[in-house]
Amino acid sequence: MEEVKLLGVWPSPYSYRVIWALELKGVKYEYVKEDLANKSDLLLRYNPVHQKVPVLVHNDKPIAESTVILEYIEETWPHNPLLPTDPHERALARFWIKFLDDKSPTLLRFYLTVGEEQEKATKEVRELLKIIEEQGLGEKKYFGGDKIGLADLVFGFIPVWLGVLEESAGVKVMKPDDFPRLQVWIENFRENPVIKANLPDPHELLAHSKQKREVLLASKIA
Amino acid sequence: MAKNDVKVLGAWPSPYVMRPRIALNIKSVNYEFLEEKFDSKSELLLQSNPVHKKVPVLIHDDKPICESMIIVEYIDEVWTSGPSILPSDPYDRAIHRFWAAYVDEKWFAAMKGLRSAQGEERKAFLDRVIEGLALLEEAFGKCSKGKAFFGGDRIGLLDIAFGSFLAWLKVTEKVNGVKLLDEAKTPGLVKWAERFCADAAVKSVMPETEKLLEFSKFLAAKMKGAPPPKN
Repeated sequence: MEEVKLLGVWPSPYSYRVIWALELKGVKYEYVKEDLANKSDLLLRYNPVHQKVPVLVHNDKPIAESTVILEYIEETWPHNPLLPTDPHERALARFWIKFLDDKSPTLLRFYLTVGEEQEKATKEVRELLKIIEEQGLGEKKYFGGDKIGLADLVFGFIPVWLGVLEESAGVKVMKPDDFPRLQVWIENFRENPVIKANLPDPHELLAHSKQKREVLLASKIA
Repeated sequence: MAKNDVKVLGAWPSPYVMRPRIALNIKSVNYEFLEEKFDSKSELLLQSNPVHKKVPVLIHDDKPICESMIIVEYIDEVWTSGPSILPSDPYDRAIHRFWAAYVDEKWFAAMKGLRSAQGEERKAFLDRVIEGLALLEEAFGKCSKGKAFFGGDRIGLLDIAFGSFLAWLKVTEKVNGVKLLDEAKTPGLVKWAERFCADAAVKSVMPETEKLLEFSKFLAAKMKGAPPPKN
């Protein structure tokens, strides 16, 4: 009897990556909502090193770190593959996954700053998007090739969270004419039936995002 | 396979560059090592890794692969006739990947902090490094299950990820006058480190501590803007 639990936190892109992977593979799982301000005994037991989510628990064995979890899901449930079969293409998919995660401070900085700092941060994130579009996506339909793959799930940050962060921060990072290929990919991503059925409520996400920004900016001034 | 079908762009002091070289050695793959000059980046590097412009880069049949641990996984997937680098069980693979990520993102970050820190800050980084080693000692016990390496009887992914930092660890011990790997606190890792450094796949690519120490002084002087120390 397979028992799969996912410990996650509602607005987190890292939790959603794993949800999307499990849903795309049709794996049945129990979602356990964590409160990071009040960490459960379960979380502390299953991820003592980082005490973070997401954590996947498969037949009572915990796996932490979203990218490690994604690879585990791909290997354990190999149907509907989310990684290419060719080793070089796999290496490229992994490269871009790591790229996005390594660059997450740059992706978020415009949302966490004001004034001149924010202007500089906005410029930097636009440069990043240019690299992502030209070198990451290139001429492909998806980051993974012809089909949605793990890299797309990680880049899912852009269609789902970037717009909300822009609105909360009062800046436009992606204007309507910018990054045309990326915009097409965003449409394709959002139209995927599994993704569509597993998105955070945009109004709640916006409210949460605005409130979080206020708190973070206030703590910086203090 | 002809030697020049496989190239590694790298630099001898880099722990990251050691990783693909160890992996290729495990698989008995002949490769050409193209050493980058210290302060400049070759055309080949800029072409092969335009996004980061960093080493290591593996070039296989003219196709570049970047990021040291991604290269190691690639090597394991391509050269299947050699010994396996990743464990076969998905859960064990996840454990190796988890700790490899921990070593890179948390532990070595603390090591780098220790190298450049002054005064009070230094103690804080040192504590973090030592705490990390205690966690890794525990992980070693669980992963090795009494055998020689994290990978069992042979070197595996996590051995490569962590072992590649051993030369810098020894330099850090000398520079700071501390013992990081300690027979009392991390007995498993002490013995593992000896075995790892002595392994045939590792010996030829692990820099000598003295040579790395000199390089470290050179780097430190450069960063301060002073001329490098005279020998």
